[in-house]
Amino acid sequence: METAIQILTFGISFGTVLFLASFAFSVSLGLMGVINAAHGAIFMISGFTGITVAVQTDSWLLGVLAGGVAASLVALVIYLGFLQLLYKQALPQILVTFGWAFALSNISLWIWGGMTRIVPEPSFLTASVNFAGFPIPSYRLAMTGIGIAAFFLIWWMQEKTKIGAIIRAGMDDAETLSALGINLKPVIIGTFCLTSGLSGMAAVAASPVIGGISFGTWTYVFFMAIAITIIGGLGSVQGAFAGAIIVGVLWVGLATFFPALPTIGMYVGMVIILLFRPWGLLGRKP
Amino acid sequence: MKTKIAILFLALALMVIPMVAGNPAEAASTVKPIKIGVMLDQTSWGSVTELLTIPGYKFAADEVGSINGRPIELIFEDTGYNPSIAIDKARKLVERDNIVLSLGPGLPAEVKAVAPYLTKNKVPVIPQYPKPLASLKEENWVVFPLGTNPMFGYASGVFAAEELGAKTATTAGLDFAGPHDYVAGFTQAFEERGGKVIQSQWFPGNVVDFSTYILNMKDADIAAVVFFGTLDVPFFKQYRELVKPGKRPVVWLWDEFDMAVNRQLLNGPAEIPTYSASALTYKDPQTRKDFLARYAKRYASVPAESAPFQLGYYIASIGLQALKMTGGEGGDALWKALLAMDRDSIKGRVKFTNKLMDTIVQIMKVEAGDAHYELVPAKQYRIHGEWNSDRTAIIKSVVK
Repeated sequence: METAIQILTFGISFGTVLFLASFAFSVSLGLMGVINAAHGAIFMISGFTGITVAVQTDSWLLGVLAGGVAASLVALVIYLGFLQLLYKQALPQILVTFGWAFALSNISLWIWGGMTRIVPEPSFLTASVNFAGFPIPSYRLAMTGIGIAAFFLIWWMQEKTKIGAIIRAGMDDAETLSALGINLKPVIIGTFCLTSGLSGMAAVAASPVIGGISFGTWTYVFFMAIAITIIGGLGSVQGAFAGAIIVGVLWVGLATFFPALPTIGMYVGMVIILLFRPWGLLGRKP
Repeated sequence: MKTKIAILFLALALMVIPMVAGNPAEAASTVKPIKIGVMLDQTSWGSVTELLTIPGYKFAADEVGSINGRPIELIFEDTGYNPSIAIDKARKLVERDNIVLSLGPGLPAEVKAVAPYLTKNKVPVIPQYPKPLASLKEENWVVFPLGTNPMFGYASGVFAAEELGAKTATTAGLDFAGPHDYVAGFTQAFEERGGKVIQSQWFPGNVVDFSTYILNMKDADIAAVVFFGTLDVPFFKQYRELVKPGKRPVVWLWDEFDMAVNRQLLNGPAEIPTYSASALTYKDPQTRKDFLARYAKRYASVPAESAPFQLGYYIASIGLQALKMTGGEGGDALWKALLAMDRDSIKGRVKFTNKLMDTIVQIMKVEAGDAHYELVPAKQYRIHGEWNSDRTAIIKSVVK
């Protein structure tokens, strides 16, 4: 029983962090139909930027905000300079964003080198608390709470606001929306940058929980985002959340009983979903 | 128009002729430098350590200066910790630069990639780190000045059993050949001395959250762990968060601790007794003092991190000593000189047996410092490895 509680606790905790790291990928895929292969690299470079600011200013909050700003700016440049010129051209979009991923990762290596960076936690969150018989760092609990709160906030924006309605309509039928006189372009740009910015903030804040930000971060964040999007269903924040929690619990569960298998297990889960329910658990069947 | 064409041809000629003719100063000199390739990771995750070794290589070369009137020239190439890049660099060093010796590369996979090519071209290789046991069986021109990975892990096993009095251990490491080797050496030494390894966990290379593995560690007297590159800091950070202070000491089977960046990242002293095994040893404290004084005298400063820089000096000095023995010649003469070498060094005696040297391991204790942790020498071991009949090195004995 204790093992099950441990798996659920750490799995959900890890899953919420994965949600923060990956929902931007899911939304951009659903909204713009773009597989943003630079997602992991944007996450990484914003993490480095924010952590550097946090260390220099001795302020966790400033670091997190700086990470968000950095991610939004990079996303803006990528969209305005490249993606908007490749509307509805899936393969060129993938190639361009992959190119950006390699460029950003090498820029990161050039500036920050090969060492892992972790943001210093706020002093009131450095202790561990006892939960159901095992210690859990209070910072991890805080990140879990932030992740869940972020999910509800983003869900509320998506479901209960006019902007959210426009975004959902744009996912379904962009041409009709344009014909109704709604300019989708600023919505797309704003959504792309905002979601990237939130992901950038997550990169900084979650760095103590995900093993830090390093040169190789961009690859595993990107592939995790793909797995989460496929499992949960693309285009919805609920799908991204569900996928992330499933991946998180699956990962922790496999790590508990078969330490060498978590990565394989995640991709096997992804393959099963693709075989039997390719639109994802909470995605819409075409 | 004709004038313009004439001027254009003149400008082109002025550009091309020097390129074809070469450097007049070089052309006038008949002394060819002795070229040594130094293959390091300068841009990937290994660069954190390997960039810091560069002053050591240069110091060794500067101290020697020249052999038989031929200047020493180090040619640094970046392998990016990538075997396919390493083989490209090796080809360039051999075919364009005509090196006689290769110092590095560091990653076992890189050494495996370049060794056959360099052996075929009669260029010996001296890698910077302990190497997998399997590499010893290959008939390549590679010597092992830091021993093998199991020999290294062996020292930690001796320390855990004899000094810490541990009877049970749980091990953990990245799931690839190197960590398996280190843990195998640790296990051999530990169980030879009556201990028992009650659990082994192997992490996939892309693990980001270690909390599950840490919580699943069985209740043993000691945890023996091995990581490379950038994972040691996040692991240890989470270990300190999840394991009660004073419980289950940690022994790192390979030292990545002695760097200012690591100390800064971990933000404060370790409450859990922690030890790390380091290859960065000196023969004795006086040798260390003299070595650093010589460097300071030559360059008016000492590198911030003396440990990795010492490694570069040590590796380079072995190669340079062998070149002195051959008068600067490479090929078969250089390889034989390396195998026959028997001399002193900053780490003690350099003598290869079947390409293998004893490895000297310093166990360091992590202790609280003013703001961050400090490393204090705890015990030093000389580990001797001896071949068995099918050339699987068996660790024969410990010489303290």
